[in-house]
Amino acid sequence: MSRDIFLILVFTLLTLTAWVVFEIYHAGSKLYITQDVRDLARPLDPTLSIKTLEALKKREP
Amino acid sequence: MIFSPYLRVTPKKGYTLLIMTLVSMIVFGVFAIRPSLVTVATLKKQVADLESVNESMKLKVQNLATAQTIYLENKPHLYLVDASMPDENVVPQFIQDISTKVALAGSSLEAIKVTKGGKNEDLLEYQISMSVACTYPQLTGILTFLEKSLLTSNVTSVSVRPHQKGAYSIQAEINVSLYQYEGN
Repeated sequence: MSRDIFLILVFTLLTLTAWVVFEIYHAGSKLYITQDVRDLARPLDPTLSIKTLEALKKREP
Repeated sequence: MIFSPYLRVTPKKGYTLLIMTLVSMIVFGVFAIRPSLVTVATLKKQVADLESVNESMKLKVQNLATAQTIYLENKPHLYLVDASMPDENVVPQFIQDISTKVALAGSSLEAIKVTKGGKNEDLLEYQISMSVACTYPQLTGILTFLEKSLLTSNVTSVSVRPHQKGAYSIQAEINVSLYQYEGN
């Protein structure tokens, strides 16, 4: 009887360990940034095509 | 006492201790260790995510400052960009410009045909076919005007044949691709 309870508890402990590991993995792989913030953080290219602007200046009648 | 054999008889005592230890580990694991570890993992990931957002924002602020400098330097000429590719229908302006130019050059614009072409990304294309009766110097003047026009256009073909009547020596068929901005 005591041995059966012991075995049940050992397997319960193993299950608990697996649960904790998976929950930690889930918490670590989830993204905590909203879509709005991701849109705001999108890179901005500051370059202006001076070559095109020079070409346009030449076209100016 | 009902628990006495479990605490005095050696084999039972051993199992009892083991069972009690496991029970305490399971209870402690479920109600204390698991939430703590999950909270730690969550907070670490949040910090990492927000640090990456912070880095992106810092870079964006730097890029905005650079962009502001560049745009302020070029502000006097930025109207050229809008003028070359307006977001409204460019065809009436083009026809008006070319009609004025042809009239000033002393030539005759005999026919003009506009066909709406395809849309490539943000650009809408118009195919414009013109028939102009003129002299050779007048034709070169019209082509120079088209090259220098601020509207984004491309002379795709010019065909010339002798003109039969009037003072003009040639009849020119000019095909032009005209582009209009359709973004936003």
